[in-house]
Amino acid sequence: MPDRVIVEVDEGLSDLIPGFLAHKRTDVITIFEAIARRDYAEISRIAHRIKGEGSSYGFGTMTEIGRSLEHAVAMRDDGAVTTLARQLLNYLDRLEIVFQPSKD
Amino acid sequence: MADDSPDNRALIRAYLKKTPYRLEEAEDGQQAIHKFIAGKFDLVPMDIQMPIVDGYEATITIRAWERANNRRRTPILALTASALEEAVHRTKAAGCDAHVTKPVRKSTLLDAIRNAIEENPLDDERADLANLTEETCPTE
Repeated sequence: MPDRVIVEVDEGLSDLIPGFLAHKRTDVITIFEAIARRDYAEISRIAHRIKGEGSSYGFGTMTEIGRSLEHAVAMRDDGAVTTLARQLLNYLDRLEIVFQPSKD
Repeated sequence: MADDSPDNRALIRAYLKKTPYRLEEAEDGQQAIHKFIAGKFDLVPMDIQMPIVDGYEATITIRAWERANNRRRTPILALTASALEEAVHRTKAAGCDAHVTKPVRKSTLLDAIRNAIEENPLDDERADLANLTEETCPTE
């Protein structure tokens, strides 16, 4: 059993989290499919979105992965894109969410 | 608001819950233009990277329509994951009034909305409605 990654998330977003995380899993699959056909525009679009959404929902690591993905795809570095997509999947697999009262 | 990401739209919807603001959603720039022309809005939160018509183009089109129809300038708030100076400059050049970088915190977004609306006061009818809603439905 891999180590869990415990993330504190605003309880005001609790209804949205299951759908959000499911969409990120779909994004990983879409990235793998896009790498296979060298569709860099599609990967770039998804990476940019992950970068913008992650921390807003409380997942700072996701924003960092999105930022690195955006850079990797700009460099046309298929190896790094694949590694980062796997990293995102691994992160999603290990996530454990703890809801906290809203801070703002 | 215009944003192609359902997750971003859901997030902004959650942020604006229990505030006096009412939200109309568009999934791309083209929808945003159509809804803007057909409706009456106090503010447009505009994502930049969108399919069909992007946020730059949508903003330019909205500004041109306002000028052609002698309409007051509605504040447009650019919401983008790019914090680069070039991106900020480009949103301003397109006609956006302010720039908020994603990921965005609830307090940051609400401050940006409040500032934009304060600089461009609501018309009387909607101001009354906002005051009434604020009294009965306080901001979190």
